Amino acid sequence: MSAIIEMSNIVKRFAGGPALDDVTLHVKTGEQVAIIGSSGSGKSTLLRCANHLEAIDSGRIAINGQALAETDAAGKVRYKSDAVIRSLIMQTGMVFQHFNLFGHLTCMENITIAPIQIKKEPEEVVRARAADLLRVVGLEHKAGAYPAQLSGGQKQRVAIARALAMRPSILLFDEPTSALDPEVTGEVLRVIRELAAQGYTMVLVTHEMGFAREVADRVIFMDQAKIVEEGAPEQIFESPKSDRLKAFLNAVL
Amino acid sequence: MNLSMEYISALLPSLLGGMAETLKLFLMTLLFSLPLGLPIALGSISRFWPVKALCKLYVWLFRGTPLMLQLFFFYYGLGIIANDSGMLFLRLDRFPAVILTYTLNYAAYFAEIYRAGIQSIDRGQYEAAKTLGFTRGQTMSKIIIPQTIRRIIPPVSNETITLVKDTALANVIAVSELLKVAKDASNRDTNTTAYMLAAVGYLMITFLLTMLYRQLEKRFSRHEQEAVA
Repeated sequence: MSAIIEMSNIVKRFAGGPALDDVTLHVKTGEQVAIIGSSGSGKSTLLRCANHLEAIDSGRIAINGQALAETDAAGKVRYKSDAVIRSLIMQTGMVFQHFNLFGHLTCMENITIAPIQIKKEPEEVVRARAADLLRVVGLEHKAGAYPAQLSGGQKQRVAIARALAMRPSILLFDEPTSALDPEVTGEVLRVIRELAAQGYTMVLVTHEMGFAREVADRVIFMDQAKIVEEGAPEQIFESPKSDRLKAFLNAVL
Repeated sequence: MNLSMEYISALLPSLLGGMAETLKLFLMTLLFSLPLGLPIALGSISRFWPVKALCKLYVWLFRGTPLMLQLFFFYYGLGIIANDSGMLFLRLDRFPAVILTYTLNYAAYFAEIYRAGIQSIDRGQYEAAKTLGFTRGQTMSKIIIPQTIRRIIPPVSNETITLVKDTALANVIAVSELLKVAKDASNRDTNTTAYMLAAVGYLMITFLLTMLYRQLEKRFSRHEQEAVA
């Protein structure tokens, strides 16, 4: 099986110190990877480097086998041209913690704007697909509503449909339920669970341990800018090896 | 004050003429300065420092000096330069000098309003657009600026109402706008009726503008209204 995202030896520094310290993450087609860890461990940063929302300081990133950034012999990171970067990050669908729906557009328009205006797909095709996606996330009755008229859970479901409408080869979820009220978390998790069951490739950064265990076939534990431990969910949650993971699980479970 | 019908109707034709001139100044200034503010606003948030510096300098110059000084410069000053240098095309008639001055001046104010509006849009909007494949230009034109419009309507409306009153300044270089006409009539007839009528004229214009902006604001805030459950 081919790798959709390859991130190798990624180093990312913030002013206060390393955010990612020699981190390697490869995600294969059909895999569901959950990244857990405390706040500030680097898990969101890792995800945001994958689609160039953050720039790396060293390492290599490739999407669907095509390099996005490489480090040359002199140790300098070389990013590809803007056009190449754009075409690669369009192959990844991102779902944000704070939804980031476009406030001036209806749900339908939020979903269709990029496929129509950026990918230049035919409008009827995109609209039909968007209607299907709204059905998948259970919001077909909200097609004409604006984001301000939706609950948090509804906004996040529209955001998932928006990402899917681009037909990405992988979905990246950056703490998709962290900004939600507890009573609407379930409706968003249900949609993600459904997508996982259908075999969508995804990386999920989350604080929902039960959910990570349930949907992921690989769980990665990050702490202090490094991947400390990774493995099958049973292994991570039932027989953690490192003391840091044990301490983390004790604190959150 | 003389409020007889005969006197008022004798004054009206010239006052209406002045009002037409005022409206012309107002509308032409808006026509040019509203769009001109946008490239200056975009320039002042540009990552290319020479452009940024130039736009900031522009705004500083035009907001930092009196409008009347700028008016004198573009009317009298350019005339002097034209005579001294022989570049006679620099000499402007009254009306074009006013339009040029007001356009440059108001564009600086509008640019600052646009800039503040653009910068008030959440960073997440840029990030979402980026992950969907938008270029920076497409992000601005399709995502950021449309959302900015709603937010800048109140400060823009405020600024245009100021412009209505600033048109009166053009009387210092003898443009026959409403205040100039009223002043001439008042001096000639030694009473204040013409001033009162001019005040009514300005109030009418600003009242209509206020109504117009209220409608615009309603129209553009449709998407920000919560659902009526």
